[in-house]
Amino acid sequence: MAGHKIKLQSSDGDTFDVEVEIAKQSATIKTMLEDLGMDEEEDVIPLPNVNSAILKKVIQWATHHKDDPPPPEDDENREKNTNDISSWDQDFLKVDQGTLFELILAANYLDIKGLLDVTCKTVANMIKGKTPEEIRRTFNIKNDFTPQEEEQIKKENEWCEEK
Amino acid sequence: MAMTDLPVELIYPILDFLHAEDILFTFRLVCRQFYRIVENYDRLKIQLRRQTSKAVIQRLCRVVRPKNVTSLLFEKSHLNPDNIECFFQSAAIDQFNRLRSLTLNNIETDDLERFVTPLSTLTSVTVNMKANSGRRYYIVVPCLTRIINLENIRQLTLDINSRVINAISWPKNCTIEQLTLRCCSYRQFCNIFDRSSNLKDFILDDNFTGDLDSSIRPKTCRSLTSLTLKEIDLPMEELEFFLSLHPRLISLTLTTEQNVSWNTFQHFSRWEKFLQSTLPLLKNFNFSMSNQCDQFENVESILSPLCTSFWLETKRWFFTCQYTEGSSFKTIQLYSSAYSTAQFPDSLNRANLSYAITTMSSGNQPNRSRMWSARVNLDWMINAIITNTFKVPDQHYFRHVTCLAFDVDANPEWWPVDALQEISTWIDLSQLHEIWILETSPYELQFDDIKFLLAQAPQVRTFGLAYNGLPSRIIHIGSVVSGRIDHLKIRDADILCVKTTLEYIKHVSTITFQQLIDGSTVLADIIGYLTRQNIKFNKILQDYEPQLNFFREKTRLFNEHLIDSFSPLQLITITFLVTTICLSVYQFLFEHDDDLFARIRQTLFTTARRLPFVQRKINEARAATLKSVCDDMAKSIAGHEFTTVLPQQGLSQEKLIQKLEEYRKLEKFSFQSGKISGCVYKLAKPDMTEIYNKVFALFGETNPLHVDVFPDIRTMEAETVRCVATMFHGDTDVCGTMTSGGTESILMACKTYRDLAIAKGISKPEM
Repeated sequence: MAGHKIKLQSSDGDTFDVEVEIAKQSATIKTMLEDLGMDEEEDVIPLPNVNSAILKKVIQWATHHKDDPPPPEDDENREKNTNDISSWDQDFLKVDQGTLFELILAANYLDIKGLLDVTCKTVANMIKGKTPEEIRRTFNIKNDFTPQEEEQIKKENEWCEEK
Repeated sequence: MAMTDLPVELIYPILDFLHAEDILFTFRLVCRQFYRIVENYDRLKIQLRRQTSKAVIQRLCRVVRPKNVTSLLFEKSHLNPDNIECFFQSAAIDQFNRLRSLTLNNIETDDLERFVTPLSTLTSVTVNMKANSGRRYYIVVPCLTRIINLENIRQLTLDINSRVINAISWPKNCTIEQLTLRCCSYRQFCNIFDRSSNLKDFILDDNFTGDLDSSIRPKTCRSLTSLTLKEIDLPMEELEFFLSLHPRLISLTLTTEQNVSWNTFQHFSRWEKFLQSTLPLLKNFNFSMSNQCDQFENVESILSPLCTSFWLETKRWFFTCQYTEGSSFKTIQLYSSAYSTAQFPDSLNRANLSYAITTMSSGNQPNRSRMWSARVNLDWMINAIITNTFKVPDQHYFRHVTCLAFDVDANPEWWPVDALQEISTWIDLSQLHEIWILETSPYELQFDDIKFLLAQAPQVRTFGLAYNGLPSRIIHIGSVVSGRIDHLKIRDADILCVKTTLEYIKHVSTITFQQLIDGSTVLADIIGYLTRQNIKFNKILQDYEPQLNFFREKTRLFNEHLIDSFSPLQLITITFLVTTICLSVYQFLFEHDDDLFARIRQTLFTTARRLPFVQRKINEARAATLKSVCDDMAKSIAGHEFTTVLPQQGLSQEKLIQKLEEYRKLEKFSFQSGKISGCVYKLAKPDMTEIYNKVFALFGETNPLHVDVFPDIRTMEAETVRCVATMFHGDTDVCGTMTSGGTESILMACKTYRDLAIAKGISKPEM
């Protein structure tokens, strides 16, 4: 089976040849292949929600992680740790915010749990330990609270006097 | 595309990675969209750890919507005994009606009930409880029974005294899937299994209490797929019986810190058949146990049954068998290699002698499927040879050794010249490919010895050295390490050593620095240098904790330096003296009211005044002033006879008044004109004196000290104080007291001001 390839087509019409084993990290593609019996080489899988640039990145990620063990089942008790991003992933995710969010969308659409986890962790790390104003600056978000709302928020967030 | 464009269901996975504090205190306050998202985000996990302050707990509880919380962790410690009270005061626990996971660490008997009673939606509970004193343990039993009876409970961890666990009456059709217990009796275990048909994963942190009775057996154990026994202390037959109850196991972990018998030990290594027949589905097998033996044991014979294709190929389970001989003990250990991640030579004990064989996966060659490694304290070994305490064997003790390390901690010059040659009768050096010299004292192995060792071991390609503080050592090693060494490993090296090595050792193609000591800034230089020199630097970044190691090393060196240079008594004395001197200097400089120059000036004047000639002048001036004052006073009462004793006979009223009138005649100034400032306060009205006299007649015979006898005086005093307070716009809190003269008033006012400042923490108030 090794080397057996399928074609993935992005929203803007480019096609990519990808090994089946790599593509199967996407649960969406895996289900498609299994349910529809698409294993003939001519078949092209259209991915209308992902553009070429992002699809290229996703394939790059999936190629690097093709030998990873499957991610553990979602467990509520599992300690969510955001410091365990591998250095390869850290470099891989040194992209502009737009691309990062597009990757989150793509990982969700293609159902690649590992990629979704690592991108969400990266965004979480950008939020951690910051003040609201710093978060606004990081993500270029406008403060749209009215003065009355601000006042109310301020009131409910007042620090209690520590004794 | 921006963050605000992400659909809500993709913001949630991001929030899953954030702490509740980050979500509620900051993320929520960024903009209205985020505010709404957080208000609806229903997977909030709250962690109140021992370092969480009360203020954070109160703020969290005030802001959070309890129905959004799915997981709560509470950690009690002696640092924050009141936090639990603070939590219950700030939050209504019964409103957490969607809570699924509850973790309570280190709590006490009474706390458990408060948490658990109102909650009915839990699926996962972890309780870690302090040892219960006396008979109070039964208090928690109903509470735990309630948890186990919960409709949706799936996971339960009870780190609690076995008496408590044994006392729980387990419900029928218990829904728990994963159960972790500290310990319990075998009877209770069977009970639990009979009633928990969904149990898949069971972990026992300690051993069963009491005996294992093979006549009792649970009726249904077939669901269990994962079993962990952390302190197995069962006879072989009992353990095998116990495992045979769980034929569907996929994952099994058996460990013990305790000493097991030699028979058990050997038995385990021949477990192939048992595992094949009893646990056919087993995929993961982790294992660790040790035996105190009294003689050198043949490690190979223990490990060889574990080298069949069943272990190596079918199951791919690899083991290490290690023999260690210290000064007072001999131990043999057998463990799954997955448990040992330390690299050679740290994977072996630093005892007199440590020898291990590890099974490995590498093709079909039988020899290469094992790795032999040994670590030997050279002094001990040579002594043993000289004194004949160790019977020299007729064959090699350590065969096929591939990795060998020597600890050197006595002066090698004391050894007989041919001592090292004896080593080759102990250890078969012919297959050695990695050799380490671990010098832990100022003594160094002679270069000739190293040369000799290398000559005995023709296949050695890797040479390791624990760096001993002298760059010259590195330079010389370069000349000893012959051309066939292509991998040099140096550990505990500092930056200077790294640079020296790179400077002088040119013919080695790979150099590995392990546990590098020094700071981080030069690392980039080194990597640049290495790249330029085309030297592989694959491991330089491993085991690298630059800052920490740096400080640890500095502290250690300083400590050693201190120990070498001073006795404890000296250290105490020096510390005492230095502290005293520092404190006095500090006090002299900063702890005075006046500034330094004022005090220096004052000191100068005081000293100057002591000079005899200055002192004479001062005395003269003082005597003159005194005389003029006395003269003035005498003049003002000229002609008056100064009374020095009471008269023998009391005076009659007439005489007394007459005498007093005479006294009045001494007054020369006319204060009645009102022209003398601050002298007598009196209104210039003609009837004032009459009023004063009347008042004196009315109240002259009173004592304000006795407020119960004279409530009139008390009331007038109070009214006066109140009138003055009102005059100064004082509110109802203002209070005061009455004084009877200017000096007392000033003193009282100053005292009040000073006391107020002290109460506010100001030690030197200014006026």
